[in-house]
Amino acid sequence: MKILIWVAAWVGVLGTSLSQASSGGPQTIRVCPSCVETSIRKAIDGARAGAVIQVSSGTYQEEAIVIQKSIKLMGEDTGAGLPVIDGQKKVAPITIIKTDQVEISGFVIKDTGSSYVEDVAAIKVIDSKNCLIRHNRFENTTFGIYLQRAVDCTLDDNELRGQAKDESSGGNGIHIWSGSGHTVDNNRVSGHRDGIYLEFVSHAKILRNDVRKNLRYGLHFMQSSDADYFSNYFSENGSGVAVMYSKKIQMRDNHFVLSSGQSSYGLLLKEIHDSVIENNEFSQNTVAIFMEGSNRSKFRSNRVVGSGWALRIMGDCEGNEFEKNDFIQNAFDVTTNSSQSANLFKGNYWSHYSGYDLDRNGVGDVPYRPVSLSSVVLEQIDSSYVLLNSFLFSVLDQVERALPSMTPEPLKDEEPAMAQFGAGVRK
Amino acid sequence: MNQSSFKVFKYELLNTVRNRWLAVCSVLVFFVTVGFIKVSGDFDKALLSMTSLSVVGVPLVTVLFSSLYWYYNDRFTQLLLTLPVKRQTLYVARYLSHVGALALCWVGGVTLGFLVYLHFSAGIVLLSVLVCVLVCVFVAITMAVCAKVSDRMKGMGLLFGLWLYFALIHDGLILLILFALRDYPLDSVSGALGVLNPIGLARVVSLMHYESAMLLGHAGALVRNLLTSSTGLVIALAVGLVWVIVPAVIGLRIFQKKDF
Amino acid sequence: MIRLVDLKKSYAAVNALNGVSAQVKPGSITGIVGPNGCGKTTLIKCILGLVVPDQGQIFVDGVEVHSRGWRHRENLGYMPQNPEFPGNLRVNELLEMMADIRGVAPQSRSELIDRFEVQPFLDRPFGTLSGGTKQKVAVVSALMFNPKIIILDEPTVGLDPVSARRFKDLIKARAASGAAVLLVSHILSEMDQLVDNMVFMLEGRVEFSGAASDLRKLSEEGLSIESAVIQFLERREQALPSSRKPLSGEVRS
Repeated sequence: MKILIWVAAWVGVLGTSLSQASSGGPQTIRVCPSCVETSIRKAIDGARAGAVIQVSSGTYQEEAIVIQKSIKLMGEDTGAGLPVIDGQKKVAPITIIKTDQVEISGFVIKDTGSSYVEDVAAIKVIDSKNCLIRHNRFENTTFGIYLQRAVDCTLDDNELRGQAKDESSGGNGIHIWSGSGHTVDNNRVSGHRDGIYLEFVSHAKILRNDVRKNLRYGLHFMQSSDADYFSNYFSENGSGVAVMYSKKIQMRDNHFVLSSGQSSYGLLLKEIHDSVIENNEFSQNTVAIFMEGSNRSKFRSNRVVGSGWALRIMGDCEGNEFEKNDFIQNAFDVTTNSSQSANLFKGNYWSHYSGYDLDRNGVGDVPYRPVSLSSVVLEQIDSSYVLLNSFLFSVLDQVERALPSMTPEPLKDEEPAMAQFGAGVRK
Repeated sequence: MNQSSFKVFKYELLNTVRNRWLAVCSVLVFFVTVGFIKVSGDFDKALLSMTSLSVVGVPLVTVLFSSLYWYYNDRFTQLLLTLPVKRQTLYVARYLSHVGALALCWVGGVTLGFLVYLHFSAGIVLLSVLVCVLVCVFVAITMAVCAKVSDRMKGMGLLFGLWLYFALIHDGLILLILFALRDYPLDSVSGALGVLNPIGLARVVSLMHYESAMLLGHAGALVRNLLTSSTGLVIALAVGLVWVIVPAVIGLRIFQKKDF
Repeated sequence: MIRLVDLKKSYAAVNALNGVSAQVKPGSITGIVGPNGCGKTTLIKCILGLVVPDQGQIFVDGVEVHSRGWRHRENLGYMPQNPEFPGNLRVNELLEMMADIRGVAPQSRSELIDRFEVQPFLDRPFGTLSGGTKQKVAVVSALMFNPKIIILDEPTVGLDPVSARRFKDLIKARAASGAAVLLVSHILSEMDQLVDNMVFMLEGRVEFSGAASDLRKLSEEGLSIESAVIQFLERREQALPSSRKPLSGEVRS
């Protein structure tokens, strides 16, 4: 019996070493400008499944590379920086089709082609599983990483610097369309149409990404439920972050900052249900949180500061709960388009609150009405902007708080906190 | 300014600056500024609060101080005019000394309040400019009213009414108009109506400076359009100038023909 | 000298001056008398330039006083009825200010300070002074430049008898040295002692203008201006229908 096992093992080792060109490990092919193999594409053509293709420093101007076998494409800095795959503004550099376990790391991919007809990406992954794309840099790519019907991919530590000029010709930094189980971790995305885009994706984990200065949304996702968004930093994106038509979303420890413009939202929620928005920081946004058709979500311990409007909640939102958030120095705290409100505000800190706390229990003795009359007026009559900050408005606001007539009576915080919670991202 | 004008100016300024209320006001402004900084813990917010207060407070203080001075010193004014002093000289000297003293009082209080915390910013400069403009406008208005209305109670009542109008009623009327004509696009009309009023003008200019205006989306954009468009800027400048020059000239005319 | 030609001035419905002509000659004291509301104060204010006449001309030293003129006040010393300076100014500062604004060194400042015993009050704020002392300060400030034209509105009211006497002597001396003095006073006995010429005004008109001695002759006794004026008024009252009686007790100041 022992002998039999021993023989079998030997046969196995022998077989493996034969198949791997007797290198003592997986097949390795080196590509460099002065090597035998100077073309990545040809190296892949000649590789067997499971091969490692090591690419040295240098610029590689190739036709489109199509990967249809499980390989590892590893860029190596051999002294002159990471190897550069140059799309010369005409090709789509790498496409992975129906192949699992592909890894691409350590490349600079630049200057993809562009097209109004199809989405041209630096790396496109179609119908594949378990891809790993990491430590790459993308420069002037239309789309950066594009996953289509892929599953369980990991996008880690990539840097994507687009140069999108306008929304119609620009592409997204990370674009995920249909699929599940992806992890997008620690990427830095800027200069695209949308920084990170997800549609029909479930169970995604979007973690620690830094997404700035994209033309439209920093993060844009639709029909993508059960996703986790933790510790991301969204800043100076044209319209902020928009999440739509999804449920069971967890958003924690994210920063939504500096979305200032005519229709800019720190976070826009449209038909988002049963989600948790917790410990996030919203700072310097035109509208920090905008909600439409969204139900039963919990907002806890967020810090909303320096906004034009801290929260704009439309009349079709129900059963949402706002607790222990800090609303600090926002021009307007809450606005709505309805005279009713079926949402709960309880125990938040509002810096505009001017009530008192006689029993010293940390809770204000009179409720706070976060909807001010002036915001209602401004809502109804755009041209009353000229009266912003006026003595008239402050007088009207005080009167309205005492005797609500135009603002929704039920929308109030019965237990306003007297002191800030120090909510927001945990330091 | 010739020598005798300068002398008249000197004594008017001296007489103005010696006023105890001015010192009290300056100290008050200082403490309010420090209070805002302490409460908000943020220089920009404190400055914004201070600006909102100044836009309404400076006109009130100006109107009160300048008219009280005028009526209280009525006899002295007459006495000065029995000296070889031109009426115009006296009027201009009084105008300048009031503008100088009041602006210094307010701007000094605010600036010192921030300097205590070793803070200085462009916003303080803007606030100072706005305060100066408002003082220029309201001293001119006050002196014209005082020159016209000899009765102290009537004069001060009228001035308080004017202040109330500029600070509150004018905006209320705009709001009523906007409500009545809410179906029409009145963005530029309301802008024009708003800056017709010197207090509104100062407020809109200050709005534009602060980030909150940028954050206020469409409204903020309208404010910016109003004042960054060249016509808007011309209107704002013209309105400011008109509000200084017209009352000043009318006041001087009245004063030159006035019977004591 | 001062020459007034047909001055007219009306406030609302009241004719304060209704064609007044008069003269004040250098080296003489001219008194203006008349009941309250007769236009005396308005007349003085016209000369000073505090009131702009509707019509007529004012010549001071032969030069017509323009409605916006101010040069004629260089040689003019004026003492108001109730002098008011800013209360927080010290007497010293006040006198210096007057000199400074006039741009002329006061020739007789110290002499006047001595004469009216103002010395102890020089460092006191004006507002803390008694009425009499304020009056004395006003005398000093009006006369310390040795003005060629002196206009006095009830100058001795509030002065103690000694100071009043000194004041009258001073005025006489100034007139003797060539000043043209115009004096408004209710104290007719005082007029008797001081004036060379008289202007008697009633309802904005000059009823009498001439030498004081001529006015005295109008009275039956021919003794004093006081009795002459009173008799004049009584005769006039009898001649008028009761409805047109001159109003008494109303002062336009």
